[in-house]
Amino acid sequence: MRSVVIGGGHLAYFAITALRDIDPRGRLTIIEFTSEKVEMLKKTFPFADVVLSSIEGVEEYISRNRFLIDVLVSATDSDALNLRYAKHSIKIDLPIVIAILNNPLNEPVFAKENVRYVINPYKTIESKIKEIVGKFRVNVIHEFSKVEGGIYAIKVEDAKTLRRVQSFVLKSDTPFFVLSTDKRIRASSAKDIQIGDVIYLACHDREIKGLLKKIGRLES
Amino acid sequence: MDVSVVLPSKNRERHVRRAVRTAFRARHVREVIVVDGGSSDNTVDVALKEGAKVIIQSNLVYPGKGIAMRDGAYLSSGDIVVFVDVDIANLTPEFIEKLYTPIMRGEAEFVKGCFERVAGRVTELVAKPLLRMFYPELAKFRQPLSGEIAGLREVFYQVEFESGWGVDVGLLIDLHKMGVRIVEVDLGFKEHDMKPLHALTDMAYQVAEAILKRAMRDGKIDELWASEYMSSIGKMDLRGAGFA
Repeated sequence: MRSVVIGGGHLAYFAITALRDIDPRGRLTIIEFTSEKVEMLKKTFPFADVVLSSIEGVEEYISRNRFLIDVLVSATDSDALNLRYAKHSIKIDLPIVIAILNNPLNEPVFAKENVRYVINPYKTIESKIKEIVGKFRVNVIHEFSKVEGGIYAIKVEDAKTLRRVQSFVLKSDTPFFVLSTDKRIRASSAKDIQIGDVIYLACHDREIKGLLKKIGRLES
Repeated sequence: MDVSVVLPSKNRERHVRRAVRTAFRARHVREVIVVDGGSSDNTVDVALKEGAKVIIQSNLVYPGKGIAMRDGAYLSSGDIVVFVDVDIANLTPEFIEKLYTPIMRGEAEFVKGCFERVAGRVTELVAKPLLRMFYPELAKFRQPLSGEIAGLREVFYQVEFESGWGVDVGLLIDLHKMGVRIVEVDLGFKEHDMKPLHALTDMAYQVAEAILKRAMRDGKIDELWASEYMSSIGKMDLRGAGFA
């Protein structure tokens, strides 16, 4: 796999390490704008080709190498540049174009410009806050990127919750497993769920909201 | 030559419609870019409706003016980029045209706007004295902190933007150092809200920092002494000095 990462800051760092993990033998090119950073990146990522470019030179580089690039990740510290490079890469039909946001508020701006793969590193803040103090009283363990749903954890606090959860699992055929009070992980039938257990459910957003309403953890 | 107009803005729903429309009426303007600082009102929706390109500035840091300007320059595609405050009450297309005309005529690559009114307090009490000390050749500028500027897009890609209020004076010093031809044009009267005195503390600090940082870089201040002094500021008890 041939990948290009634009930028040399912390967003780029995680993109580079992830791409390296996915394909250790793949060819990776990093494009940076300052010579000091280029030197540092060469030392930090000796497996990568590091290219010094001007702001405008990036588009030219991408266009020139368009048939050699499988994945392009724009991870500069400016969302304006990320948008510009992502739009250009889409325009010249690069197979996978990913933009990493500096400011989560830019997500709709990128969506409007048809940038399909946008990574919002701050997205978990919302779910984590809800997990800790939110009215949902449900732990969002993971949010799926391709469908509106995820893996949710609910503590079965009382008999009412137990009945509702059992009924939900039976009716919806939702995949689940249970962490019991004695810290054992079980994936068994709905009838084995007990008060005090934590149940982990993989389901759609609307389904978990329905369940939360029924057990009084989400206002109707 | 095409012109991009950049309007940094935050919670300026009341002004943005008129500012975008006025900018589009100026000759040679091909795009208007509103760089929003995370408004909680309808600034973004209004700007989009008026046909502006909108981007939210990359960092929601206060004051973030420099970040907003940088993002605007990066997103623009015109040969010339003009920066104008969104809340100038008497903004006209001529105001924008005056800013870019010296560039169109080949007389300059960077233009600073100035106004009839007396320059602001931070300009007179901080920027000008420091410029006179370290960059006397720039002391001739009547309003070195003016945010109404225009420049060839490519020159903005060769400098680093300060993130906050030091951006304007930083650009002036850095572009001058690069040998860019700079002129100041009188834009007439500007009707604009004035900041209360207490709101100027951060601004004055950031302007001073931008100038001193460059003076240090350019060997006008002893670097060792300055870095020790600057780090000692962090250890000082500044309670009551107006710093947060």
